[in-house]
Amino acid sequence: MNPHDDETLLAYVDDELDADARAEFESAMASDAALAVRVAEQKKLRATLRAAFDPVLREPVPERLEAVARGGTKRGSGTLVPIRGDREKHPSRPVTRAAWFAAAASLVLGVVLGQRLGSHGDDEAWVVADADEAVASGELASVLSTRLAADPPDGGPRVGLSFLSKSGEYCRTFTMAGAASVRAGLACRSGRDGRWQVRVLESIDLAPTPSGGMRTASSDTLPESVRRAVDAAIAGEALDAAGEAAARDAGWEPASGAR
Amino acid sequence: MDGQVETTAGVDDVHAMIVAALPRLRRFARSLSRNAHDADDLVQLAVERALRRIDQWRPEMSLVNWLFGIVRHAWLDEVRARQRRAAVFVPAEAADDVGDSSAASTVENLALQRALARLPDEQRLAVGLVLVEGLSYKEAAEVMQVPIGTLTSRLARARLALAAMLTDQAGAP
Repeated sequence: MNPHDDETLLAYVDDELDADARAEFESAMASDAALAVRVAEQKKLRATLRAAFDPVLREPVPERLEAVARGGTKRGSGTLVPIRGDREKHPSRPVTRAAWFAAAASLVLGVVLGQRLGSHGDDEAWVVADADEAVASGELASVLSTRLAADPPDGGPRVGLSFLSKSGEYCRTFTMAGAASVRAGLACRSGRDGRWQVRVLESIDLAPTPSGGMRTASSDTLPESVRRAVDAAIAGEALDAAGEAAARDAGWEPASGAR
Repeated sequence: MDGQVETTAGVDDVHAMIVAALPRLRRFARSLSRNAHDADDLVQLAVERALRRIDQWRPEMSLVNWLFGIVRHAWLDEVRARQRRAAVFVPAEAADDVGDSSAASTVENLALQRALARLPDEQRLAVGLVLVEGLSYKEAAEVMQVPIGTLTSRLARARLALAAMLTDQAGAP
């Protein structure tokens, strides 16, 4: 053991030395003031970290986390929809690119939107501007990558329809609850860098639900721009549940030669 | 507590154990993400993933340590996604929870937060597991799926850097 070796010093601070090594280190420290100073500095850092983060243990756990941990199916008035507030300073903007698309369609997405609680923000931070693109961020990006349409609602963004686009990328429609409205959009996964590019994002005006009940968003509540975008982009049919799961499990990488 | 879990633990028990682990998962996530909402989103994502693959958990590892590993993966996924879109990079000064009254601002040591944010990802994970969560070197190495020597060298680099950054800060006028 070299008592002046950083890792030995830190192992001492972390109580990872056995009794002999510990005694040897302490005798070295007794005759080396500089070593003792470094030990004190590292002990202080450890204490600083504990003091900074231990209070988190005493915070109430958000109910939405408990609900997810319990299986995520118990949806009730206590299940919060996580809403991103305006704390995010990076530029964010809803983007409509309906101009890319043309035709019209009628698709029932069967998306169940729950009541959202609280009113401290909206969902724009789930979509961020990056150069000339709008990109899904945070939980929306996670949901687009991981969740299936049939997954029980958990208060977060929901996916509706998944399909392979004419340009060979996977696209998914989604809805998410905001402060005063629900938004629906279409995101396509760029094969280049794996981001979910948000092609369309539009508000759906839904009256508040004083009863706290659930609402169903179907084709007639989805914005026209989303329906048109899907119809213009889709190649063939939408994925069924098995196809959706398989695509997710493949990381949304289109099979080579699929197109 | 998790060490007592037996392989016969039922589904309800697993859910209850995950609920019991939430405070520690939240603390660990907070050491990774300075924003309380982002940290809770990370925990939620990790718990969802954990429940989908709960059959992969082996009682040789405590449930909470297994969950730490899933939080780690989820965080690295998120970090990588962010790095692909430079526009999302938030300057340290802009990332404070200013104006967000709902964010629990328990972690008020901004100097520490900024110093942590400057660490490489794997070093920050090592700090979170060992110094915040109190895992042993052996446990932390298992969570991070690296040899103990790798863990200890990451930890050493991280702590020397943290000590230097915090000393600089304290010494600044």
